[in-house]
Amino acid sequence: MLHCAIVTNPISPVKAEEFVSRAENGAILSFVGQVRNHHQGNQVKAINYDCAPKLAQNILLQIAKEAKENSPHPLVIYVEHFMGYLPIGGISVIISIGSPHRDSAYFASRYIIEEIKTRLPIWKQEHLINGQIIWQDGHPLAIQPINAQK
Amino acid sequence: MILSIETFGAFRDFYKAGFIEIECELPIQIGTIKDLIALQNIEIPNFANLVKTSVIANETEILGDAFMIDKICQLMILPPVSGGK
Repeated sequence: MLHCAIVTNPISPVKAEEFVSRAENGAILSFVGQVRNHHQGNQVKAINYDCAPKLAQNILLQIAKEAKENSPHPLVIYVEHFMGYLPIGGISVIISIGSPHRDSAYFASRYIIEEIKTRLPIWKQEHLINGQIIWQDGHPLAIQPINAQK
Repeated sequence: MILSIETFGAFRDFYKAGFIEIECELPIQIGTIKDLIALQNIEIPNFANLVKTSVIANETEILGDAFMIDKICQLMILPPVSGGK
């Protein structure tokens, strides 16, 4: 079972863990990414997440499928990434994994977040305390999964 | 003909309308489209490098520089992503 979405409503960790919690799963693991109040020495008050939603949705689903296919155990995966303006503490991404065993849950969670960071077309625009609004520098989008290139 | 390319991220600062228009003939390679975009703002420092480090995509996938566009379709230019640690 997979749930992958680019969302504009607040992300709910409770909803995510309810989705992946099944009788056959001994491990429930959630990674939550949230907006922090600093970046490279700047004081941040919020981040606006810009996104190509249809493409991002396709790539997110592809990443989750890869994690599921690479797992020796059957996984239940819930992934959402936020699009829009988020103040400090707002949840930008959640990855919840339900698995019979913890090792495959940890592996899948790490795989998904690392692939999101390199392949998902989402851009961070920082809103600073001093009034500046700046796009974060970054790296070119990867066309192929990074882990498959190693 | 005029090809319209949707913009995201840092490109939004240069194209307030949300898209880039380039005049070209079809078929055309993605790499050539990027060259034409880079020429539009040649006077802006680092703009050519921004284009060079960006990728072009349609609604479903990212297209390599050698990919050939032979009909009008929806294209997007995607600048580097911030990632994080």
